[in-house]
Amino acid sequence: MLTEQSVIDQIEVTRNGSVQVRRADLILKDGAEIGKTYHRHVLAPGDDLSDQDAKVTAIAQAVWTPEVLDAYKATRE
Amino acid sequence: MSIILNGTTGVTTPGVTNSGNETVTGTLQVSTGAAVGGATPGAGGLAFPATAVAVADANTLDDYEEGTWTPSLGGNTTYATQTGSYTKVGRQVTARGSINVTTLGTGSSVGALTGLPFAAASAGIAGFSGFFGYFAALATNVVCPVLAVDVGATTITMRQLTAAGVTVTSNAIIGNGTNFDFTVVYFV
Repeated sequence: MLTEQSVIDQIEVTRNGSVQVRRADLILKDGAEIGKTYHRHVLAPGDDLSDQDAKVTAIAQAVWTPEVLDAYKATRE
Repeated sequence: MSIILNGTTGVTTPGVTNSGNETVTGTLQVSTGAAVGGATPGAGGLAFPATAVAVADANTLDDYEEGTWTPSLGGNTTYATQTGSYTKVGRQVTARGSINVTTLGTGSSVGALTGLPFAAASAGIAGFSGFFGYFAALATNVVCPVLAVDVGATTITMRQLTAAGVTVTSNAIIGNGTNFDFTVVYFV
């Protein structure tokens, strides 16, 4: 039986505090992976986290200290 | 000398596992897939691990990945088309996208895109460029439209001339029905 499953399979934090998120969309046959595609998005320090995976939110909140937020904001001005 | 591991009928090629180092002084041919960095070989090609092991050496290819991303103007714009794909080879990312705006919403940009799949490098590089493959129904008449990936960010700034000139500027070129395809190339 073929099924589909999406998982957040990679969360990376870059030097400036951006959180890079990779979602793996898996195709499973009888529970075994037979296909996979990736979809990515990146959260910059201070971005809205309301629609994010719980693990992503937790990591972003831990990383985005006031110092990180100020430093990132300074690079964008 | 050549080593050929091809599983040819009638030839039994034993699997070889060696946790040490091997040196092949001649050529090496792998008839199906090969893998590096702990990845699982596929039916063909060279597989890299799903999580790259970054190597600082300038002559080492340490990552390959294909996937999709979602370009956005932000706000509550609605789209007939909003798709993107990328290929990352080493530290170079090539990202393409297609946008077809149905209705430009509030809070949306009229001159920039967000959502690139990787944050661009933030140090030591002045900027990265891109180009349009097609555009239609821009909100402003322009010449020489260009794209720039912003350093340290996942945004693309669109600049152009509105008449013959010497310096591009940012203009409100996106509106209802604006339709364009683009590609950017940048480093991470």
